[in-house]
Amino acid sequence: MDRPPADGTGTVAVADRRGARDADFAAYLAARQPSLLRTAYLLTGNRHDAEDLVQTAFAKLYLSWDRVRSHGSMDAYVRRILVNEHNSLWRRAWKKREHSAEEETLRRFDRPHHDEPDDGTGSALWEVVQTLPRKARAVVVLRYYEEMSEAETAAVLGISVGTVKSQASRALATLRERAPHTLDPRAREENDR
Amino acid sequence: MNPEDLLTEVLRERTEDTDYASTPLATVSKRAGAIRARRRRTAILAAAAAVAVVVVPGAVWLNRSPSSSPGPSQQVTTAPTQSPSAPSSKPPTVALNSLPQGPKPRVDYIDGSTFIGILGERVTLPPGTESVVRSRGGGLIVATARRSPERVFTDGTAGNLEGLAPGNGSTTNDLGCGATRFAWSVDGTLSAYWQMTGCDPTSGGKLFLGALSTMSQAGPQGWPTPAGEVYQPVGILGGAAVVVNVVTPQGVSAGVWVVDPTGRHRIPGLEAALSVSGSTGVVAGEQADGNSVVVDPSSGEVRWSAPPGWVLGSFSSDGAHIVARKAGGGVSQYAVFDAHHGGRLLDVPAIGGTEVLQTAWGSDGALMLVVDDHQSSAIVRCTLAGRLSIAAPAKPDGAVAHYRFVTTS
Repeated sequence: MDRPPADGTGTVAVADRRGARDADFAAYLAARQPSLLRTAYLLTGNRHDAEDLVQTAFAKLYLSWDRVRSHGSMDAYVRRILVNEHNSLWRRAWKKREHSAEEETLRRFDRPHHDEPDDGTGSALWEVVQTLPRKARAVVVLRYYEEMSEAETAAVLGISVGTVKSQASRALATLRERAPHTLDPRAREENDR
Repeated sequence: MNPEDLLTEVLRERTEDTDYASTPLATVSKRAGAIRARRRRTAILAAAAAVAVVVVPGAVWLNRSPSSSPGPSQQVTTAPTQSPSAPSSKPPTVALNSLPQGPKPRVDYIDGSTFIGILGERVTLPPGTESVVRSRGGGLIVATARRSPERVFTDGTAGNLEGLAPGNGSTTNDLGCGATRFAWSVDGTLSAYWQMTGCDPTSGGKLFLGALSTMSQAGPQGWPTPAGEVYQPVGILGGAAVVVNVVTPQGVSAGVWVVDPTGRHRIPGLEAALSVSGSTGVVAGEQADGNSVVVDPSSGEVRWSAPPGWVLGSFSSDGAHIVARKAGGGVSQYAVFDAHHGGRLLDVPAIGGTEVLQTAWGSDGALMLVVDDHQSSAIVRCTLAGRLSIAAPAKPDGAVAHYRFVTTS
């Protein structure tokens, strides 16, 4: 057990503990940041927002580090923050427009359409993925990029397994509808050739 | 390779060559400090407001006392068009958990996946329900993405329209594709919806008005609408006319129109209608410059303009009041205006750590608010005296807020 410093103020011991804590956190940050940035990129669709999102998620993890680390659930915790924060940012933007349903409708009309997919490349599929609703996109990223199980995805998103199934199914249906070429294995193999 | 594996491959390809700058610990630590400081500020504000709420409500009335609020018998005047002056002080902030439990919402609303009517009736809604309107005989018509996702436009413009039987929520009829917004009369006896031809927004459709039935063949006659125009019902005037926002399938506004059995006319000067008062026969809308105004729908004459930055919402059922929202500082501010003259009557107290998702007027004349803290939502009642109470307790959100109003106009 650590002994208190001779001056009895505890200052040195606190600094030591904080230093050790920060060293632990910095090691975790270095190890997990690249992976989480990729996940955040798939959620947000651009690097700037992804980096901002990951910084916020790690900042919140930093505030709860002692508690979370003691449970050994850092990955699940930070991923949940990442997704919730992303949805929250979206919802804040949505809320600012909620007052006028008609205005919202007009804005929806203004969104770019992707009804004419390209010749079956991954970029066409990626473009359609970006048009999925945030929650559905989160399900797609966790299920098909992170390759989480339905139960794990449900736990991260705080929704039921049934909702994960229906969201994933609907997302795939949308992708098939809007980029049918990209999800046709034969077409993709031909493109690869 | 199955579609799921293909999707995994595409997502991996998308990220494998992506390079990111590494964030140092100092940056994370600094942001953590900012988050901690913000949490403290919120906590302090909420704690202070919890004390203030006991004494403040009567003071949030601005230009008059609640008892002098204009009654429903007052006539709409046409004279003033100037922007009313607005006080500079911000409304008080209160804590959600400090609010007393009050009466249940006097408004139709959705609790999770259950429609709860004003009389307490409950109907289980299909997954993906976007909006709901009552129909003749106690059933509901809902716009949903349930059965045929391919028929739902991903821009959210339209969904399947389905009739639900009274009580058990079972589907009785598929009414095709249509606008996801309904309009209804003040007394609740008439509703309107727009159904497009062949689920194609370029092909025109029909506007229905009447005592809607969940069985389309027994419903009202539809008025044909031109090809190339999408109709979004906003409100009903005088029992026989529907105010609609018309847009092209490409999203270009084609103005605000009043449609009745004899034809239709455009309301001059409005880009979009925001709400309609069936009681007083006026329309709140947005002009091309973004200003919110209340107009006479027959002439387009501006009765009054909202102060800069304020966006008008729905009218109270008696047409005496209208709620408005002003964005700024990250959180919107809400206020109640005199719908006849435009005077700002009440600043709705802010609830610390939450944002207002929706507003609706209750049958008791109080303003109902869905408030959300990004994790859960609750329904709060705000009386015209500025007193807040819990109308429905906080419940965790799902993909969308747990509570939603279905009668926001």
